Amino acid sequence: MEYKIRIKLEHAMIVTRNLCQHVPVVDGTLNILKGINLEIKQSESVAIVGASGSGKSTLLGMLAGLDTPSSGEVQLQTVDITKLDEEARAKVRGELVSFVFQDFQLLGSLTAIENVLLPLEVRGENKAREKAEHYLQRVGLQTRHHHYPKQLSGGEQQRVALARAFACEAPLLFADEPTGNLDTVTGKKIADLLFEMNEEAGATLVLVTHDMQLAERCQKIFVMDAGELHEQNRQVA
Amino acid sequence: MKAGLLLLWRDWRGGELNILIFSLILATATITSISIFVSRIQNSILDEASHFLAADAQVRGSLAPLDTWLQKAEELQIETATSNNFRAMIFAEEKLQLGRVKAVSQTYPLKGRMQLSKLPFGDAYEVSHAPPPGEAWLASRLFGLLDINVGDQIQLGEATLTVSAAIIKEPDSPQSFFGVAPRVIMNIQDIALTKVIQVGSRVNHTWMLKADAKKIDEFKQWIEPLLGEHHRWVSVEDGNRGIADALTRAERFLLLAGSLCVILSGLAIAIAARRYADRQSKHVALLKTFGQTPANITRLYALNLVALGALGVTLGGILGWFLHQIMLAIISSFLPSELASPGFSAYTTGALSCLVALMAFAAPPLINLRKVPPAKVLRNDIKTGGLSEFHAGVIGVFAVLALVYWYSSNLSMTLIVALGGVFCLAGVWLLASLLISASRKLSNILGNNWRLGLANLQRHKRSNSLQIMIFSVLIMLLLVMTVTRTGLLNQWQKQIPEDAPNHFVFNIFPNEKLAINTLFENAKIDRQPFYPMVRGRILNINEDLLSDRAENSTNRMNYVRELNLTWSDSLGNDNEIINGQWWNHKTATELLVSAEKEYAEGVGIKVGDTLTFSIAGQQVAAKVASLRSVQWDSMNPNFFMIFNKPLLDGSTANWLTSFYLPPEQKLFLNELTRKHPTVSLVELDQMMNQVRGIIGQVSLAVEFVLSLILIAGTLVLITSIQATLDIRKQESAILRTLGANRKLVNFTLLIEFTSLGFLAGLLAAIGAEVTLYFLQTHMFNLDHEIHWLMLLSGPVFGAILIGGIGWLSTRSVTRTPPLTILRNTA
Repeated sequence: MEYKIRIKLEHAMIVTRNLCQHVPVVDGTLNILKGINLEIKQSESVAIVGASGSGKSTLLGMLAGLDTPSSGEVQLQTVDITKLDEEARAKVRGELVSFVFQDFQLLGSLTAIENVLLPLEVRGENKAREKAEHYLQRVGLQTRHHHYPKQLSGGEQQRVALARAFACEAPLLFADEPTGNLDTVTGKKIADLLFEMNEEAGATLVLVTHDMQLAERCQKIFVMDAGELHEQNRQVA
Repeated sequence: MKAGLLLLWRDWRGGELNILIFSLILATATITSISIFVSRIQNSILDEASHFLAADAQVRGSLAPLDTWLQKAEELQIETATSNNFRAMIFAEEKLQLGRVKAVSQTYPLKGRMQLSKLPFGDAYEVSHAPPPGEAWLASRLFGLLDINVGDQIQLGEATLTVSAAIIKEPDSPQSFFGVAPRVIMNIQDIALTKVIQVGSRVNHTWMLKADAKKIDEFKQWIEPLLGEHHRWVSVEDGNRGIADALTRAERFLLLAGSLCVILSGLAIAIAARRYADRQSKHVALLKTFGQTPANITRLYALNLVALGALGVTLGGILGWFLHQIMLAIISSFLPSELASPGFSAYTTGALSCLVALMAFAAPPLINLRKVPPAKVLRNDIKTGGLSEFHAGVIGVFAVLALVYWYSSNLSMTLIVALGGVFCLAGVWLLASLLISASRKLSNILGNNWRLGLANLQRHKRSNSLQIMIFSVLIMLLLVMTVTRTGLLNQWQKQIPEDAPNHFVFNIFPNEKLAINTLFENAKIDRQPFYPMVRGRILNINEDLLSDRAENSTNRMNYVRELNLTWSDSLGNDNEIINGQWWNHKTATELLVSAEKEYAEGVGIKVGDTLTFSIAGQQVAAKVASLRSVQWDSMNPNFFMIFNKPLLDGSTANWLTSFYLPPEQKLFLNELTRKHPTVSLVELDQMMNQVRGIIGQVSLAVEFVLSLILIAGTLVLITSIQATLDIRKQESAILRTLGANRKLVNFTLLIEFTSLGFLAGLLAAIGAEVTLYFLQTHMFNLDHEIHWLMLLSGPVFGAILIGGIGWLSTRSVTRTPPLTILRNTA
């Protein structure tokens, strides 16, 4: 299917309408997402919090076009990605989306710089190496280019993952528990870096976490509870 | 393309592709080396066997070859030689003797060498040309009969020839026992001088051909329709029934070995590809989050497959060539100095097999990667859609069977191997699951360590069932190969025992029996009993003329000739009744005959038919009581027709006996032939040595190929165990962090692998017994008996092999610090 991606800057970056996800289980159907309606504006930072198993990561997968819902719509910019097949969704992801994961998702067979280079090479970037070097320097790993993930600490691995995510220069950044595997001090440093770099990039940030302190740094917080999403009222101090 | 190759290079550098590329190289190298080795040995054996014809093929007939045939042969650049064979009286002063004269052209022999001596039965030297005009070479025993020495002259017709050597061995010496007279070899140019060949003289013309197999085959296709009734084509296989069976069995064994090698290689590639694909799924999910489309993923891995295939096949091919050189170097002392070249297909078999195996085994899981959902980056437990393991397995099994069929061109062998395989795949899966469950109960009565080890077995029930399946197939193949090889070698050793009779004496008149017996006793030479023999011709089969039936015969036997007939109460050990019954001498009153199976089938002789013979001018009718198979390669005297009682009261019979004569007693033949000049003597010792040589060579090849298969099999085992190393490392790390010491972890691994090996060995032994039954009875014509030793030792062998290899391969599990493992697998 030939699909031309329409990139048209509008106010809303992500819109979902009545997003549902059901999975069959032994004694019936489990409703993971129950009609989620959400709107996230361009350059906005949004945290989705909730208990384990509440459906946070499932929602993130839907929003990023990694998974397809049972029903409902997900619009990234103006594109309804639920109507697209996997080929077209992959192209949308390539254009619009980058990720940071809890378990870093670095390839063990690649060095730090090669891990950063990977998405750039996949997207056919011209100055891929220069960009990769730049972002590795930005995360403070300019001397660790040729180190493999197993030669880096957890914090350093997540820095490589941040460099990789921002090197893509995508307008949308999804972060799934980015500090979940790190100790408090390292986690805070990584969170600082994440928000700093996101501010520089001006990307829309969707952050899934159960760490309320981290969530508080976002402009909006949504709470996921038993498949339903509610915006949390922020009390301004 | 560039990104794809870059990824492949990085995967390789990172060790991800090590096992797959190693399996590919190994598979290609093993199959290539075995193919080239087997092809060269086979061609050499064929080449050596062709020495029995002194050529690659012959056209024999009662007329000389036509000029157009000679032209065609010249056109195809086929080397030729001719020999005219006839009987003539040889005179030396006052003595005379009937001789079989072979007048040969200068290029004779095209293959093999003449062995001559300056003394009768003396030490031999070799030549590869005809005697010069004016000279003759004589069979050793003619010197005694004619009372001459080398250098003397003989008269043959009107020609006078100088005897320049004694014949010790001629490459194409006839092995027929019919009216054997001593040999004289002369140059074909002298025939005209002898004036013994006139119009109507009985001369057999043999036209010998030498060229590569392709040209010979092309010429055969061209000439066969033109041969008519006066000529027939004789190939190496037709030329020597004695070694044909041994060769066929050897060829089948080598084919089986090669086919099993293909299966083992397929297994290795399948295991390695599965592991690679498993590890790549995370990689693919990540690439998809970067925007790689499924189509791109397919292209990427297709490119990887092509690059892998090209690399594996090239390196494997080169390694295979060197490996075959090493094999040849190791056994060079047993091989002829110049080994025949391999066929072209030998070079390509390995590469093609591996490419097909790669496509069948590696392509499905790798191409399946396009289906990996990108959400796998978030949750590792998401299942990948697409081709199921079962379907991928079915594709693989069919591809391997297609390869085995392509490789062996033998449907029976393919089906038997498939049957064994299916038994192992289906039955073993079920049994393995049951046995693993049973082992849990056993663990309750054993100690803690055993409980942990057997719990491991239990915990990985699914993957362990799969591994038992792989190990069973592997051990089964190894057992099948080993037992078949032992059976074949025993059979061959029995075929020509060291003290088998190597000389035959014919045309012994009844009044000579006593004197000849005394001669043997005085020389202390053991001889076989005297057998009666009369010559006769079949005239009719029921109402039909034999000649009419022979015209429509599908086999190449010469039916229109005299046969040697005998009678006997007992059936020889190398004969077996296929149809009908051997006679009970007390009850049989009518004249019965037992016919050789192939001879009978060619002209449609059945049990109950009446055959009319012409014997010494009288017609004798006999009813066919049975059909027999005859083991022609036993080197014992055997007959197409055996009667239940003496023919014509035995009055027309002469007698034959056979005996073993060691080389140092060859001069006994001089005494025998001088005292009994009318008897005919056949010396088979040289020919038997040649057959022994060939069998020795084949046995060695068989042994060598088996050891290669064993090495390949062991490597598959290692590959298979390596494939489970990640999960074992992780589990051992958890155990060690929970307080288990290194010794305990090692011991539980040993218990797990030994139990796996025991179960696999047990199932393999049962599978091997089933396969061996079909292989031995249907492919190798060997007797089948239950291999108790194999059934008992299979499980022990499996436990030691798998336990040992498994334990050695997983030692790194306890050597790596648990923290390192847990961090890397997190």
